[in-house]
Amino acid sequence: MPDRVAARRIASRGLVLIALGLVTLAGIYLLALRFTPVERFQGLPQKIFYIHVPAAWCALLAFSLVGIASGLYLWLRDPRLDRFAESTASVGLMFSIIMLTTGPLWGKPVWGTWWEWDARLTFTLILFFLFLGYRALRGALVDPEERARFSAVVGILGLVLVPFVHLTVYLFRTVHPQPIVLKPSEPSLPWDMLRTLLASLSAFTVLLIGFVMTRYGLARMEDGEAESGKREGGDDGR
Amino acid sequence: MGKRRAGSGKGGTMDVDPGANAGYMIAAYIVTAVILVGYALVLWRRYNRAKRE
Amino acid sequence: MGEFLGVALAVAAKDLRVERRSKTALVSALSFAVLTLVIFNFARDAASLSRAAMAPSVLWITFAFSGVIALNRSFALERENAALDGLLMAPVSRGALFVGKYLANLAFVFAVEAVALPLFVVFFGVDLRGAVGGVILVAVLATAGFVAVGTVFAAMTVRTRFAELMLPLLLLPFMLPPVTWAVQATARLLSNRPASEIAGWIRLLGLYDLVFIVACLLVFPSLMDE
Repeated sequence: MPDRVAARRIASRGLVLIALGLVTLAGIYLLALRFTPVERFQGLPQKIFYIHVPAAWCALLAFSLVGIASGLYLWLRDPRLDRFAESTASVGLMFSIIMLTTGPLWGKPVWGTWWEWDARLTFTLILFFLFLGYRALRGALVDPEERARFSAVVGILGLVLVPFVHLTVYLFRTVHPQPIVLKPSEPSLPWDMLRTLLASLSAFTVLLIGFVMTRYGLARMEDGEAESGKREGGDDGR
Repeated sequence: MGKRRAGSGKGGTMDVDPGANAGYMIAAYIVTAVILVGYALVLWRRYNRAKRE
Repeated sequence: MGEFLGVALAVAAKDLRVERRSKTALVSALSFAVLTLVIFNFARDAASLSRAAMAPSVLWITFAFSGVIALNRSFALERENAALDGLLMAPVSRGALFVGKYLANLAFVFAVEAVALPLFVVFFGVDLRGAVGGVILVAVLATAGFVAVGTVFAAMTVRTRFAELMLPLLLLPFMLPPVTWAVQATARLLSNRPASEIAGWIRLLGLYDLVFIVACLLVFPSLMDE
């Protein structure tokens, strides 16, 4: 019972964070659309940058967390780690969908095509498929312990993969005009654009934390429900 | 449609008309908001349902 | 160490022996490879796309997909006969089991590639002189990488319902780096670029293999828990 109360508290706090994040995001929207200068060469679509980059950042962060939690799970076999990994993976999938839709919307007006097989875009696609594969695998496995173990293997192998994909970024000549997807290593970004980016990054990070907390809390509430309510001890195979 | 294309940083060419291609930007901002708010609502509904049980 | 190797080789030998008798997977993988090569040849528009430009990509598409088909069969036999439980009851090291399966899968995929490569040379009129060694080296390295991960995933997906769909879905992100690097290296080899341009890709492929073979070896035992 105290377990369920704790779970509920995590979920409700997560929801508060989400609400906070969404309100802040509305402010960011205003900031980016009204109070940030329009970029010279790309025009208005460049403003998608203020959403695309933070979403990519969150997706990558989420994925790293999934990988770390997966590795820890294989070592410690604590089901909370599995639950955390599963929650973070769901949220990461959402952010990577945002990344994958805003990317082409930015690319089409600026480069003339919806998609380019440059290394960074390929990286975003790979990340999406990793999240998708993780979720699909979980959906296909019924036994909770097996599901936790197997998806942890995918998680940790995926984390090992990321540096290699990142390496590829530096090896390919890329058409990406703004040299930033994951690392704002661009010192010449003017301050009024940089501050909008940083503000947006903070809002997105708050959202990430809020979403993960809520998902985690909900998973614990629902697992606890399944255990105490029914005798079979199965959960809904998420 | 060709003239609305911005050059990818070919310095010195004409600056792009700032109002052009607003549609892409709006679409991106709306899609993002829909996804985030939508997911938040889904989680909220799940929370309410789980709270009741 | 000797026992480890002994077990691994025994497992590999068993797999290969079984396949030699039934030949089902080998035949399907080979047919697929031939089909892919033929289709690409007919599907291209001769005016716009030269054979030379397409060649490395076509080769690697063939290798990659045939590889997945070969991997699919990897644990299928065990599943059908519930033989995996028997295997696990024996006091064998899980790592040795992985190496055995890995070697068998490698032998398998290499066999398919060994047939596909000459066909590729014939269909695409590719001039391999001087580049043969390099192309083969690149093929070996890239294949070794994705087969390692594929062996692990095959062991997992065999327990799921849509195994044939699950395996390529999971494997795709892991195939992208080695296959794209292999295409880059092969393209340069076929245009007879200097060795210095190719060495980097080969080193990358080698690094990928090293890292993932070790990672898969470490992770495979967790799949076999009971």
